[in-house]
Amino acid sequence: MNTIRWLLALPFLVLAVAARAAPFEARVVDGAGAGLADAVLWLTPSAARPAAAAASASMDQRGLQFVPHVLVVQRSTTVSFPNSDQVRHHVYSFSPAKKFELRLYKSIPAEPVVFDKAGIATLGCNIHDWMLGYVVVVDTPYFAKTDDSGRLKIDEVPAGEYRLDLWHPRDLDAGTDRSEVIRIDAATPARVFTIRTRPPPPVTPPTELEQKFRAYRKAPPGDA
Amino acid sequence: MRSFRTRLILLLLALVGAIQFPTFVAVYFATRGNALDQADQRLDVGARVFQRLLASREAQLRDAVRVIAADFGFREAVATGDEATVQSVLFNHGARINAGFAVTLDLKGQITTSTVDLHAMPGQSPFSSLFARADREGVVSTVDRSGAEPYQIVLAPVRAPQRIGWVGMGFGMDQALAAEFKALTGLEVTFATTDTANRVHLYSTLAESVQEALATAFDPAAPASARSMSMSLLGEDYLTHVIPLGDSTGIEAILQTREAEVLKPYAILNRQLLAISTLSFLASLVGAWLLARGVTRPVQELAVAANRVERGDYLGSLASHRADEFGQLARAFDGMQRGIAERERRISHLAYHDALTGLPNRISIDRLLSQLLAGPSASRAPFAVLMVDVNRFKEINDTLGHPIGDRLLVSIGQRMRAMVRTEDVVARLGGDEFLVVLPGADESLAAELAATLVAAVTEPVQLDSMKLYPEISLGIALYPGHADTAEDLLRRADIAMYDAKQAQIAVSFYSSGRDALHLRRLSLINDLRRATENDQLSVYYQPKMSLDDECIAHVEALVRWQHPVEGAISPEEFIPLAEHAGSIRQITRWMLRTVIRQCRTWHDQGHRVGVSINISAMDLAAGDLPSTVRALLDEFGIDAASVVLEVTESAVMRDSAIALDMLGRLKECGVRLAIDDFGTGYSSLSHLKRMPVDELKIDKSFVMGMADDSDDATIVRATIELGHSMGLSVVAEGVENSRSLRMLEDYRCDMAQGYLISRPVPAAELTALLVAHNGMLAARSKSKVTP
Repeated sequence: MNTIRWLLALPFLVLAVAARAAPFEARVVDGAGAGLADAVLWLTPSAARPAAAAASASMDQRGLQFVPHVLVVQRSTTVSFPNSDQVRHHVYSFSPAKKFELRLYKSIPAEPVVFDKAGIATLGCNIHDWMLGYVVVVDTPYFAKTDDSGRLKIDEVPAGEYRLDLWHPRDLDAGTDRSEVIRIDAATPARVFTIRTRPPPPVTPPTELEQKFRAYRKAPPGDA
Repeated sequence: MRSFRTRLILLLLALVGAIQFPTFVAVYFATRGNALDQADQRLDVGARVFQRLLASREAQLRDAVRVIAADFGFREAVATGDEATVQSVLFNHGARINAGFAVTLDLKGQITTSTVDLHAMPGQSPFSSLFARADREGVVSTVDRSGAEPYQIVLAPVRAPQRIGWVGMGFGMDQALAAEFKALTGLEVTFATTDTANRVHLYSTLAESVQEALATAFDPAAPASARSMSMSLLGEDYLTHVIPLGDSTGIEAILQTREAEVLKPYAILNRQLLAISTLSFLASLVGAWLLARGVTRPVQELAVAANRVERGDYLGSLASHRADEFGQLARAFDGMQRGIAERERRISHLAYHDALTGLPNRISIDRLLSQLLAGPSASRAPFAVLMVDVNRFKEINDTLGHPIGDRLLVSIGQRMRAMVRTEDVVARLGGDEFLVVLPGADESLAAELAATLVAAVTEPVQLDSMKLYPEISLGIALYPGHADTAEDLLRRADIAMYDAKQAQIAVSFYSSGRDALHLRRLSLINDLRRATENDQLSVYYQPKMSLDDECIAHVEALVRWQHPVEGAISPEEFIPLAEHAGSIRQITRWMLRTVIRQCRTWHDQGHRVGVSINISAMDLAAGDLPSTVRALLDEFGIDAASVVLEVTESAVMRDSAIALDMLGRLKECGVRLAIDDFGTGYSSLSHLKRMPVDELKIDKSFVMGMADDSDDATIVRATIELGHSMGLSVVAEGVENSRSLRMLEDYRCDMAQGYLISRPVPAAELTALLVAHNGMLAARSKSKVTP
């Protein structure tokens, strides 16, 4: 279906290439008006289908968390999964965007994963149930992720007509279509988007057992 | 009316009952309460066990569900929609814990895989209400129902790593589970659900029929109570504990135990208690009956004895040997009975005997005579009735005093008693009257015995220093000769006695006809009472002539009675009757008034004439004669010296002390006193000397005979001289011839009275006589002086 849409938009893309580029700025706030981090915005040109990039990115495991929490990549980007922790991880994704399973051993780099389909891959770790990460695969080079204050900026967007998409992992209205058609040029003002979010999952306090382990790690028996 | 015994028994039984009944009730309810409490506790424990079992099953489910939800392969299968793998995992894990069923659900709650058909409502998840809780709690468990059947389920989210669905495992809460719980808790277990149509569905260990009753009786809307309640099913009481299950109402576990089972050991205890109570109650009944009998039997005996005494039978005796109060009462009763018997004997003796002499009294005589006169007249024996009266007994009583009189009567009674035969009866009728009944006596025997009695009684009686010579009058009436009723016999004996007295003889038989005389006398006594009121009395006056100047200076007033039927009745007949009947004083007062008034009349007419009035012995015995006389003299202004009161010698003698006192008081009034019929009594000279009299009237019996009898003449002469020597004037009565008059003149008698001078005449006639006589005297004296 997408393919059909792209085909229909083809004549416009030719026109757009000729236009000058301009930056796009936006701010995403939550229901309370506070800046929302990790919101992803991407602009897909209506006219031409941009070529997939042979780029690479990295989704690290550090402190028993995915870092970054949300990773945005253009389609066909190769993402490596290093392991900065001292423990093993078993990263998996059952998402339709990309299904994979990686057994990450310390100091043994795993085979990188090529995300060749646009969509959102939810990452989990079979060993650490709380670990949650997202890889957002977009089919455009114009994308950005908000910083902690909820701001984002996409540099050098060629003037033209785009479909704007917005996503956030804790979007309360995840099922609804947020996309809109937007014209980008020098006069395009900075936009403010509001996404109502679920509260973040409670920070699971370290269990008693875990604390004991940590203490053990700091001062292993016989190490003194 | 309830008897005392019944009331006593009832009272004792009521007391025992009042003690035993509350005891029984208290014990019954205490044990029952205790038993039910224990059952309640057992039920409580059962409920806790039940809840623990549910919890442990839930924990089992949780564990299993958690294991499945955490399984990577399972998650992968769910995430990739590999239904076959998912189902195989559910079977595998479900079988491990023997779960009833296992399901997976998508995020919207729609069942994606299930081992059983859970009848989910179309378009609506049976677990949607759980998801909110599951969001907070992760794993959630509940009891819910599918259709009518309840089940327990545990749900866990399937994460990859975000939630991609749910996995759940559960048990159906069916009859098998109930049976399992019953085996563990020993209680009847029922799972109840209420569907939307308010129908109750049960899964129970109870019998089918009981289940039906429970379905009807069970009210799911009733609030669950911490304490168990009692529920009656098919006539059996069940202690019931309702435990609500699940989040929504309409699913309950009902734990029950049969009360009868709980109470069984206590029922035995209660039966024993009831048996003991009944036995002791019966023992009390017997005891109360014995006690009541112990009390009432002596009382009944006393009542019987009292009835016996009431009938007059004093011979019985209670003769109780009991030492207690009833024994005392019985002995006291015996004593009382003896006392009554003794007193009755005495009272009866007094009733039938004379207290003074101890002789039978009038009532005895009445009884005796009715005995003698009982039966057919042919079979009756003859008998005699003797009426005895002591002559002049009143004089003896008055002069010598009642004690002497009484002793005399006692003595006479004893003498008579001693003289008669044993079968004879001597009775005292009252006063000085005695009656002797001689059964079987004819006229000659009666006369003989009467003579014996008279002889015995008239023997002198020595009383202290005095010697008395009693005389009696005795009248005899014979049965059947004189009368044939007791009343007639007594009256006729009385008449005979009266005749004897009149005739001054000792013994007199009743003679026929005397009865009429007696009745006439009674009639006259009756008429006499009204003679003064009816103006039937009148006064005649007989002159007394002074023998020195033949002047009539004095008249004697004599009463006359003109009876409306009988005609004129002589004073000799009616004065004794008046004295006997007590009306003499009335007559005397009438006489005094009439005569003194007449005297006034004569004085007013110029006739200086004195009047004499006869006074009865009874007038002297008592009363206020002196004041009456004084009042009359004052009223009519008559000089007391013009009035002479005449008293018979015997009247003065009869009751001398009182009579002398009365005469003294009359004398103080200034009237003159005369002794009438002097010479017939027995007054001694010393006696005469003490009397304050002014005049002697010689009895006419001497005066009438003096002309022919020298003895009488001597007596008359001696009496005149005696009177003169004592300073008294002397009057001679019964002067009927001139020779006597001349002799009296010779003897210097002061006054003469008699037919020779004038018979008694009415007042008017006497006035004429006075006029004529005094006129003649005046003429004669004039003629004497003239020559």
